[in-house]
Amino acid sequence: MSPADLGQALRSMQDWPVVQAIGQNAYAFPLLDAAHILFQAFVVGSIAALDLRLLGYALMKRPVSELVQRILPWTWIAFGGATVTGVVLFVLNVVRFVDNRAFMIKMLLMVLAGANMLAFHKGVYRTVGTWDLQSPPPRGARIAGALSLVLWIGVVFFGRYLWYPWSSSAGF
Amino acid sequence: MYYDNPALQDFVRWLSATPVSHWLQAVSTSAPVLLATVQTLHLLGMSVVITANGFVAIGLLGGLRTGEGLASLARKVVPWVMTALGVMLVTGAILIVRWPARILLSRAFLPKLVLVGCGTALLLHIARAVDRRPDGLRSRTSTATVLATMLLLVWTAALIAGRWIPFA
Repeated sequence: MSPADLGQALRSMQDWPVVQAIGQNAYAFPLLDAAHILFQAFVVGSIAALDLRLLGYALMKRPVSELVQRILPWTWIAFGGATVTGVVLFVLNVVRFVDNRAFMIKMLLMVLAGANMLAFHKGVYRTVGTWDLQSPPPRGARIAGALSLVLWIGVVFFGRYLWYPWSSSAGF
Repeated sequence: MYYDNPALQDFVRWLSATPVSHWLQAVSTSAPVLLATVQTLHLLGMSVVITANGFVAIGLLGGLRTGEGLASLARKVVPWVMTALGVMLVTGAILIVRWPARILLSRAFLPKLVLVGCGTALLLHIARAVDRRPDGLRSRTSTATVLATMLLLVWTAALIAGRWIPFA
């Protein structure tokens, strides 16, 4: 399937009856948008708390492994909510998003944030028992924390920027 | 209603005509990155507030699997929430100067402010109550469940009201 065909297929989603029904409801979009922001706020906030711990700036009396075990399950629940509401918002606004560079950058940053988290868990986190309360944490953990913080701030920024008309491929 | 108040409408007209508001309106076109940055800071502040209050509520409901952590958690999050609210106040003021009518005359703006006030007061009350010795607030009690539910509802409603501003 060529990119043009994919774009056409995505645009045709706007004709689905369920999408049209949601689009015609005055309350559906603001509520979905609010739910998406609520879940995203919790994802970003909870990950930032872990990142600041990895950077050695907050929660230093708490073992890293304990924070990971307590915080991440809730982060994943919120991420699930953000994904579901995000997909619905995408389908509702597919014409706006399909060639929106800010949206593409937001998705790319989320993939990079996921890769960074995977690298952290497969890498330096395997030896967390040896540095659980170390201050400052080892270099690998600090790099993972800093990268995560920057990437997620980028996700929030481009999540806002994609609503600006200038973020379409014509103007950004 | 308050948004029909002539004094408020005069204020909105005056604010819209100020050089700062004109400059911010021009910036929206010439350098949208600046306004997107202000909105990002507002959202990051909101992330801190929502996460902090969310974890206090989860702690009150017993979801953090520790009784000892609740008092220290509630005590720790208050300065973070206050700082985040300060950031939101400053960035929110900039957004008001950029879109005076859209924000100040929205039916959702005042409810948002009231809900943020209620949520902050509730968090401060909880932080004081869990710290009280020897009969401080404990997780999984009926009082804790009611307070956690109120905290979640008030902050969720505040966020919805905030997101409703452009539509109301």
